[in-house]
Amino acid sequence: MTDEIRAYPAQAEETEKDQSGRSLVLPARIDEMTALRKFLLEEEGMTEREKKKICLVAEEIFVNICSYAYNSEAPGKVWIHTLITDDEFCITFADKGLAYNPLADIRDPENYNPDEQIGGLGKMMSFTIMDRQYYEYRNGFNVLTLVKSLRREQGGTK
Amino acid sequence: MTITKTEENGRITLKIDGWLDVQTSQELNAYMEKLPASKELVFDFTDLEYISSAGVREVIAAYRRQKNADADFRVISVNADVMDVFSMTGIDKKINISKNNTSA
Repeated sequence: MTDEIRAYPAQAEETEKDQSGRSLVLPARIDEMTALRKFLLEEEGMTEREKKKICLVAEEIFVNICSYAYNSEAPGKVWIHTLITDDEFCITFADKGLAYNPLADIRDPENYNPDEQIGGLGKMMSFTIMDRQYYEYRNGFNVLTLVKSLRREQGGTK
Repeated sequence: MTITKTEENGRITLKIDGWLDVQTSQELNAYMEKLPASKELVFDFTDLEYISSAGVREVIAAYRRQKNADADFRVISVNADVMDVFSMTGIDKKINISKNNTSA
């Protein structure tokens, strides 16, 4: 993870595309998922299958922020940044909502029982798909960065 | 997403096409609330391209609904991408989910 991504929330103010990746800022509203999906499907350098998995992860994180980060009536913002290297895709979500570490309390898929529970599914799926996850609360921002190896997808099914 | 319903000998089949995400899963939820009880319910995913956790939750809700009524539930004709999602949650081991159409 580069320093640039770490500093991202303080810098990004509008949609842009340059050598350091792509950025998008959206209101934290669930209906904005359509715009986020469009943004991700336009990503170059990934297969359609990889993009669908990234959409799945992004939906989970974005909806979680929309649902729980801000408790005021006016929605806050969500900052999204993506970066593709030769062998990895990196996506960062940032919000100025309540401090929350989504990496806590991740369930083990082996122990999931649909007869007993229905929550926690999306988070469990997201962190199964992605290879590395980082969370930090910095300068009033929740910053969650997720990294997926693109090499593995070519020969495997993760 | 589109839902096409067929009914035969007490079995209701819902063919669900397109993307089942956080927004369209709400449509499926509303549809399911109005759906009458049946001794067998089948979700046909032949043309389902994508499912997110919100969609998986609707599948689980349908499974529970049928189980609580002592009725059958299964998901058929699931493509590889969607099956991946079921597999990573492990629910393919708990719910009758098949890659091939075995409804005949």
